[in-house]
Amino acid sequence: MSIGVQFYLTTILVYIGVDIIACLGLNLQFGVAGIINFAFIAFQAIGAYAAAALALGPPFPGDFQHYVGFGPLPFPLPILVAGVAGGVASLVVGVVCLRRLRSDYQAMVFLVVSLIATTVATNTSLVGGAAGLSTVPKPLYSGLGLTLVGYQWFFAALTGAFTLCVWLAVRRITNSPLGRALRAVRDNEDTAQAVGKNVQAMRLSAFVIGGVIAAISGAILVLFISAWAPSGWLYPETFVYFTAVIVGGSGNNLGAAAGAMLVPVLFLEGARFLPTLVNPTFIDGMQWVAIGALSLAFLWFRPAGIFPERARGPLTDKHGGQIERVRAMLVKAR
Amino acid sequence: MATPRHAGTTGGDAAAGLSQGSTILATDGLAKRFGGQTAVDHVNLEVTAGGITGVIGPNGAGKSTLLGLVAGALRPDSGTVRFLGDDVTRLPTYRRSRLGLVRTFQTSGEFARMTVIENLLVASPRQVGETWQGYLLGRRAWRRQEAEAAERARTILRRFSMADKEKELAGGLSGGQKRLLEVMRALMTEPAMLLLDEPMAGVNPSLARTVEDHLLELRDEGLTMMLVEHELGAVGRLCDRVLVMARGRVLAEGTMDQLQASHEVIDAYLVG
Repeated sequence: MSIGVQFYLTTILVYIGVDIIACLGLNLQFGVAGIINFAFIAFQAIGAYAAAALALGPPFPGDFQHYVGFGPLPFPLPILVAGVAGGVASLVVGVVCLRRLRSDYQAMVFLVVSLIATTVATNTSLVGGAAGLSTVPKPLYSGLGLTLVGYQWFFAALTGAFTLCVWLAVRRITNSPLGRALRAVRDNEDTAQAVGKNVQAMRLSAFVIGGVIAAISGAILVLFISAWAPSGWLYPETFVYFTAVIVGGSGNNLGAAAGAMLVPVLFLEGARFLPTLVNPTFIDGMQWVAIGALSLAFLWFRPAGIFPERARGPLTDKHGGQIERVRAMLVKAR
Repeated sequence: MATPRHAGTTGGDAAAGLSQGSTILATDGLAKRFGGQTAVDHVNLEVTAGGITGVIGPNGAGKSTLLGLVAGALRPDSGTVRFLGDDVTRLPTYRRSRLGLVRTFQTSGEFARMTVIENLLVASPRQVGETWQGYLLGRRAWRRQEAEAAERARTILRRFSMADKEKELAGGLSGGQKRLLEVMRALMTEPAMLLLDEPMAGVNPSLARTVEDHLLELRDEGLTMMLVEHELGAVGRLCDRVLVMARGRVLAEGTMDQLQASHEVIDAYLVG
């Protein structure tokens, strides 16, 4: 395999991992708990900026970029602290936005939050302004002594490890009575309260956990690409993740992961290979049209997505009843 | 006489030891206005343990608002609600539910994308698996509790002849089955008192009789209920005591036979 192909492949693998992590976070908020968080991308950005600032350390006198920096902290602390930053930011935003408002109004407020976040990042020197942050050092790059391609494979494996950890952590929620209670809150808030669920607290918990996961995805990405700027996380990017979750199957982790591979990676990356028949910016513009059309098509014709949320029984079986179901199928087949 | 605990359905800890005939719910001067309209006008009521109290009245009489105030869905403008001797006026719905004061809804309140048995399991009280402590400790912390809840849910499903619907999505049930699910889910919370908002609304006569039979069984087992209902025949068959509301006030109370002879009540229904 040529070096170029290896570079391309490892880059795609990292993006798949980052997008799966992000979609798992959004699925927990939207698919499981029913929170329409149109500011999702802003929490990914918070994680990215936090990790970048902590990996860079404070700017030195005469530095070409202006930002508030701490550290530098050794790997993996920038990613972990970025997760905490995402959680704290989610807690603040969640406490303000999730109380008293109906979910459709919450969605509007989240959209406004996303716009405010972009405006603040662009117009202040908090995180490098419109130019953003660059030259973010790659974790363990000098210490490992790998070739450039070797490091690419190392980072892909690292992303895979983080993806697995997030997958297991989220699955532990969704396959537990906690996940069931969150789905109840999503389906009918009033009834959930009537059977003793503290709806506000449960929604806030899911929102904060989703925020932590979003921030981790941003942190991994910025350490890989070494740069982050406001133009890369404008509010339409949130809709790419929403489309991914809807297409894959909201409420189903497998669906979220499949959606992450199909929409942000295959669908958008695939457009790169289209022949340039007209103005090159046309394809970029059409990507957004295609994302909207894809989302609408699924909402109309297959609202449950490719992998619909599965019907569940009691959580007494270790694998959420899957073994029982396979056994029953085998008995039936015999 | 102590309130009997009935098989796998009731008995919040607070209800244990409550004697039949003692006051379980009381409101004092309960009032609620919506804009210029008085929906509930200084209602004083007392519900004793172990029977079914009916609330009837013409449309707009304030019955559902009263139920909402008692359940905690609405905040009163004035007055208090006492449940099992404690002032619960400031408590939100979920905290009243945890104390054993549980309501059902007039319109379908099912968790539509969840199976029937999940609709019941989610209502099981004090679940360790719903806490972050349970999350950290993992399945071994809540497996046994989940198994017990599943057994109790299946007992309730069998009792309501809905065992074959266990794996179906609740959103796909018929209107009548959804009404039964409302009652079953409320029972799963181990209530001390049920607030039923028109449980027979939109249900065919045969299934309505089934719902009635189940409610009578539960009453005989000692569960206290307050029933808002339009169908007076059902109220007559079910309720030991009936309150008549009109224009936000309690107009009269007594047995259905007594009320049917009351000119005041007849006027309220005929004149509105």
